Amino acid sequence: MKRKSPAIDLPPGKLLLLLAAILAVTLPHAAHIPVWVTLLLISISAWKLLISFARLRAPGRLLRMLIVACSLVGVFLAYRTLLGRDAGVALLVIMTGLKLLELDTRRDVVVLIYLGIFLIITNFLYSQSILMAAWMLVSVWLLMASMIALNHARKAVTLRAYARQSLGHMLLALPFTLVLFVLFPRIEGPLWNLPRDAHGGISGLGDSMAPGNISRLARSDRVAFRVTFDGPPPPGRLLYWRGPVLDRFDGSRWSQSYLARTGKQQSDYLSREVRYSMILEPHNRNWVFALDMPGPAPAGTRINFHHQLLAIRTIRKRQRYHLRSWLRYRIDPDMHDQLRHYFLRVPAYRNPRSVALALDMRRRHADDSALIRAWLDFFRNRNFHYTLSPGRYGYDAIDEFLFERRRGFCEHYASAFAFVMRVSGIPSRIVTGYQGGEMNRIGNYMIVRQSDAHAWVEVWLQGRGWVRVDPTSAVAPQRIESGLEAALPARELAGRPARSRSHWLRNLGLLWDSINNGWNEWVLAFNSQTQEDLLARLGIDPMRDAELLLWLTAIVLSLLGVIFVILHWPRHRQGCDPAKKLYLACCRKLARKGIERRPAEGPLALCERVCHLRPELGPSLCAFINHYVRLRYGKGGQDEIRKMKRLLQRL
Amino acid sequence: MTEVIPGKPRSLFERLSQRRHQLPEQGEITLHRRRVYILPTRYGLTFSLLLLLMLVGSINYNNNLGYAFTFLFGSITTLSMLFTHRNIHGLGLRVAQPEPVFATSRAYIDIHLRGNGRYRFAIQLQTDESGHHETDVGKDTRKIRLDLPATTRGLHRLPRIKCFTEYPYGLFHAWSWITPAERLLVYPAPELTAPPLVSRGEGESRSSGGHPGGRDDFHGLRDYRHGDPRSHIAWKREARHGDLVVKLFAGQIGQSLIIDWSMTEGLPTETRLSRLARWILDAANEGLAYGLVMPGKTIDPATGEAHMHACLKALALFDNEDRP
Repeated sequence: MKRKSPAIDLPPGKLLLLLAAILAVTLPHAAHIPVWVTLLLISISAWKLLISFARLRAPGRLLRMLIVACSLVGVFLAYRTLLGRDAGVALLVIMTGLKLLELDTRRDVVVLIYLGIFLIITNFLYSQSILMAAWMLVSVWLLMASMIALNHARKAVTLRAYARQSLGHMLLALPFTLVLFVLFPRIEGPLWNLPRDAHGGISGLGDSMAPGNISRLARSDRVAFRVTFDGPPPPGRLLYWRGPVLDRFDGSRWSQSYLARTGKQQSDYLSREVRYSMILEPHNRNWVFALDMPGPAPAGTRINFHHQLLAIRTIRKRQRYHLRSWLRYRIDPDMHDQLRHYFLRVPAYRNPRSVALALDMRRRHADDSALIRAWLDFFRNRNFHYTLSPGRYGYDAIDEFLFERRRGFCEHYASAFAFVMRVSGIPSRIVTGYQGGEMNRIGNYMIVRQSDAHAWVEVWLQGRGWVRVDPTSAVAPQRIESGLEAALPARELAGRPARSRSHWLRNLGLLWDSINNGWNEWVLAFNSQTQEDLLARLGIDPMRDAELLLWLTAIVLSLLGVIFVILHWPRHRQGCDPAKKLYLACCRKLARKGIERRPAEGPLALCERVCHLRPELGPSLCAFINHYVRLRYGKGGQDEIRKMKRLLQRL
Repeated sequence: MTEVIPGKPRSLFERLSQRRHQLPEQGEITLHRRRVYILPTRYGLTFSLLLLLMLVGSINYNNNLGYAFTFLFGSITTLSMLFTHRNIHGLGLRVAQPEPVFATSRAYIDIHLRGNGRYRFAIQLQTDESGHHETDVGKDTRKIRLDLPATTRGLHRLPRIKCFTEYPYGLFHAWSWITPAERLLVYPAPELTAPPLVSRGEGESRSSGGHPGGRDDFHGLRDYRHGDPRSHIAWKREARHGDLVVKLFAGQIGQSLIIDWSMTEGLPTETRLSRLARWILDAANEGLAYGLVMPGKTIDPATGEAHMHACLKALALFDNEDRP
């Protein structure tokens, strides 16, 4: 039997509330769905309002079907698929919009509200920021209020009452939410393969470097990771965050060879360790940017041949690592000849002028260290420019850079330097990563942004192993000491979001970032590990999931019990006037004695009649009734009630 | 708003819950904890599926805000069970004695609702035969009028009344059954095309010069009977002595005619009753004093509304006293 849902005609106030809720939920999606979907939704909302207020005719089934078909085609054209995260969300938004046009029965409205609730969750696939969470809380509020409005058939509505109630319900639900969030067993997903576009739009350092790569990245102000040091942070010039190491050169592009997949060589640590924890933003790779030089790899990571720290799994969500590094070290002091030759390889017939210059320099400086110094002096003294926009380089990029343009960002210097080292017979490789970082005094942690991206060189010297040489420091020492903004001329910074325009603005920014950091650390990075730590800190042993569920159920049930009692306790006895209650009790007593109060009999008449019928009851009853009449129709206080109680017992 | 077809109990559980409260109750009924039932609605079940879907999505994408908001919705849903229960728990109901009606018309049951110290939203009432009615119950009492078809004459038991609410979110359905002890008196339907009343008996009927319904000549007093017009109550005497009496007037006992069962000889019983009912109404309309003679029951001639109701009641209960 198919039950027909009753027809419903939403009054304007309720309709507006519902529309507001739906628009609030879909608004954040406007940033990534095609513009026409947003426009479609807005025009449908306006249409619905016209239908409701101006009593326009609602669109027929055929027209609605036509819109559906067109939208399907549109979504397919936009995404080349109807599956996956982005296309799915676009379809969901369209369906929600079209549902607005057929709010004929109660079931339609319920379906619309449920769609809205599901859309809330989809928003978090794109952003989990504090702002998004706050906005979605507002949306939940609106949705819950419209749900209440739907279940209240009265036409004359006070939207404020619904808003107040749903807000109250949300506040009551908060403790439950908190308990569930902390105690609900976390299963490390995914349960099945995610759609391919699940983690789109995340980028950072790549696994190769061509001129222009890093300067492009440096224009972004996005946070790469945040670091909290145990103890004082090392000085800025030592903050080299080690990322992918590139050892193969094709004449313009440096890339990783198979060596990156092999295991670590030897290392000696010559200073005290630096301990720190790092919250890494997702970047769709598995680099973990440890401080030069990372020590033993923590759980979930490994160290490769180039001493680069790698996560076992691709970093697709914020991750926290507890790391140890040594600022003074000696790595791979011994190297096999074959390997040494590998690190000397350069493509033949490329950059001939640079090769000639390098061989010339080698002839003049027999000592490796002297040669390196000479090359750094070369960069320092030959009118080289450090710039974010060096322009495009051609086929023999290094020749062009060294002899003609002399304008470049760190990748140009590193690339040229590593190249001439190889030509000169010194094994070298490029290290990419980040350099420096901004200390947030409010949260006492360091922020490293994409704009801190950097590339430097490691050369291998007999007996000393790999040694870091940063040619950028020769051209722009401020870059290493105080960061990019100090090293670049003001006009180059004009296009970037200025972080330092005014002092208090910068402080405000830092405060916001430290709030964000706390949010990341406690809300977004909360996982089974954090859960276990937290429980351990509360004195509860790490538990199995089943035990956790049991606890969870117990706590939720007891909370429910408490709220049940609160809801039912206080107002229960307020309904009746205590004097009247006592009077009714008295009447019941008299009835048991065979004297029924007549329908039209007042208390005084009753008293008179009782005195007549049962004189022995007279005195106490008269006193009782007198108190009652005074309380009900005159003035009286608590002690009269007490006296009445006593008299009643005596009856 | 519910989607129950009237007359069809929703589930086995509800049928069991009905059985518990089949004893008729009189006076004010308070919906205490032990007679309020609660179950999720169809929308509630769908919503829990939606929540499950959201949870699986959150697990799959490892999305902590997804978890948080799923839990928020879950918590509100669970709490809404309490809110719905609280909305109906402690509600006071009193079913008023329904006015007698004629068969084939509709009977009205007035139910007075009392909030008992709490504002209650969207309280709904329905019987198997009537549609449902919704109201808010505030500080003062609120009256809901249910109407049901009165099909056959007689003294009928009132149908079970279901009092329920799904406020605030429509996810839970909290309800209670009420079986009122009040009876509904249904008079036989007056025949539409009855032959005019033929008078017979002691007094010559329709002595046209009489003063029909003349109410100015005070005749005497008698005890109040249910159905007597209020305007006839001797309030002064009530104030003085405390007993309810009504004043009788001369016009009410002047001429009289007898409406006799035997006057409708040869017709089927129900038709005879219908015809008698029509005659009684006609006589009452014209203000005549009339009496009723039924097998085993004779009502002396009189006038007035109370008398008319007494006569009609005799017809309604004819041969029918012990029908449930």
